[in-house]
Amino acid sequence: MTLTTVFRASMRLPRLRSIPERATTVYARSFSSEAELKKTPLYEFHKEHGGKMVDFAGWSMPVQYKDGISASHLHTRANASIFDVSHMVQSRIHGRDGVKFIESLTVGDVAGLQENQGTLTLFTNDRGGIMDDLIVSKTSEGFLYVVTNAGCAEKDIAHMQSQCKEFQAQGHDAAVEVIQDQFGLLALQGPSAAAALQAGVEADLSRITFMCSAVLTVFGVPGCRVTRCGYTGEDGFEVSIPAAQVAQVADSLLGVQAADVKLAGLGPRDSLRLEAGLCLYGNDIDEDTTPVEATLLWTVAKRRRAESNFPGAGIILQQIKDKPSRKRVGITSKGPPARAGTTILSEDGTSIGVVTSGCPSPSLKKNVAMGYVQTVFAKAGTPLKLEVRGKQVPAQVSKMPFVPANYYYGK
Amino acid sequence: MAAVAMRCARGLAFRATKLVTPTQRTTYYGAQTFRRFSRTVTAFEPVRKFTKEHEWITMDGTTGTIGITNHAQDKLGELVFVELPEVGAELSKGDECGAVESVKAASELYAPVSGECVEVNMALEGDPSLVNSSPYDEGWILKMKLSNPEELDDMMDEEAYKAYVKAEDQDA
Repeated sequence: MTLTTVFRASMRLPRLRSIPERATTVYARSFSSEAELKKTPLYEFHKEHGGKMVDFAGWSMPVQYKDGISASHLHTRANASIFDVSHMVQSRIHGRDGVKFIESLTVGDVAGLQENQGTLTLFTNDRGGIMDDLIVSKTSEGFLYVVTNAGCAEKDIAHMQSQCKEFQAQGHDAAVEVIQDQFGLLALQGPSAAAALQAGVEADLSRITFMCSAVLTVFGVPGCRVTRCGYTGEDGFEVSIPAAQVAQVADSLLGVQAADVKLAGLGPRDSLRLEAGLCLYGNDIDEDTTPVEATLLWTVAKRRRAESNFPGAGIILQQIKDKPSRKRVGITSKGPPARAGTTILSEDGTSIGVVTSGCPSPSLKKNVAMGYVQTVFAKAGTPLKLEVRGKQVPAQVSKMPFVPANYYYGK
Repeated sequence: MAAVAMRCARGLAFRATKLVTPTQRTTYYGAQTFRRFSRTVTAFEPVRKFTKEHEWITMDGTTGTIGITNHAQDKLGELVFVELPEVGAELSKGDECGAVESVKAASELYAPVSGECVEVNMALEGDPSLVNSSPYDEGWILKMKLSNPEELDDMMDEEAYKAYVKAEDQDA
């Protein structure tokens, strides 16, 4: 039973405006039965712990636990939560020319990364649009560790593999290995995340700073890749764990004395990332959005701009010069929350854009949203209106993140 | 008399949905006890009727009190905003007449019957989660003066609604 299907014929209730479903419209509309859905190594664990399972990108995933989304969200901001993100695609890029290969697909300076350092980057297309956002880590073991979105799995894997074939045909040495079946992925997020994880590792986690990683034995499970990153704006880690031991690690984390760790689902994951101003692929960025419009220009590395050799470079570099006609902005309001698809109006009532994500913020007790507006309206503080169910709700452009980030950059 | 009728309705609802927190249990037994003393009340005992849209209605004369079901609030999760219709609004059955919003999703409310909105539950503006904690009592949403009470005939009784929810779940 899923939220998607329960109200299908219903109060016409959740009309798939909610993020987990909407992000993956293609899958959500297929109304896959429970049996057809893919299961992460924690599937049984979620059910045992009261997870409400829904279809997300063809996976049966917990949208929330008994606590509810707001409580779980606030717990993450105050303590620490475990999110099962095993549905995300983990890959390795091998070969002498692996860095060159991934750079041929993305806007990042992977060559410039330190050993065991990672970066958020973007796959772009020839039109300068964003094919997906991903994290690339340059491991000390000689390969690149890549995490891409579940909603783009098929497309990304096909893209990497076909491009890799061409790359090899040009005489280069690179290979793509998808390791999702062998490894689960847990995100441990929140101000107590480090204290919780420290209870299960010998290494000093204070030496691993934001976006850096190490392979560690975690609660007795060897071969776990621990990366200090996340999708909530909080300090935290994503831990890649051999599939058979994911539940063991999750269980150990829930039991640590050093922190109050709880399970959290996709519901709070979405409201947390929105408060943190982080994009959800498929909602806030897509193949028709450029990094310039999405205000993700910081991901387009200086060296790569100079070399002008990433997909869509011509269009993106031109847009940097000309300024884009629309921009992604943060928006706050009170009253009825604006969800994805809500029309944004200027003060005089002219349509100037559209909301791509929005929810009531559990931390701020007001509504937060992001969306695209004509560039002249993109300045923080600009008054706007949001058209919610036929009514015009006053709003304003606000800086993101809405809630300050709490990343760990070292002592 | 109206107040008495409402109390009985509460009793029935809680028994059916097994929402037995201590305070609710008190209400339930209160209602039961009361019925023992008054046969006239039994005659006026309102029946809760349900729609496929997961809304409920109880009648007091020609005025219906409307809310969303326990099943609906459970599926939606904690509500953070309830948009109420305007008092005086003329609604036709199926008209959009408000919305309930959780962190995750917005869900429209539809008038289960035709008529005029005569009262809305202002308490929900301050505390939308009353719909979660007390869907059949303090979390009522609006009252309507029905223009076509025959529309009630198409609705489900408690048993039929339960079966409907079960079938919907299995279908999922």
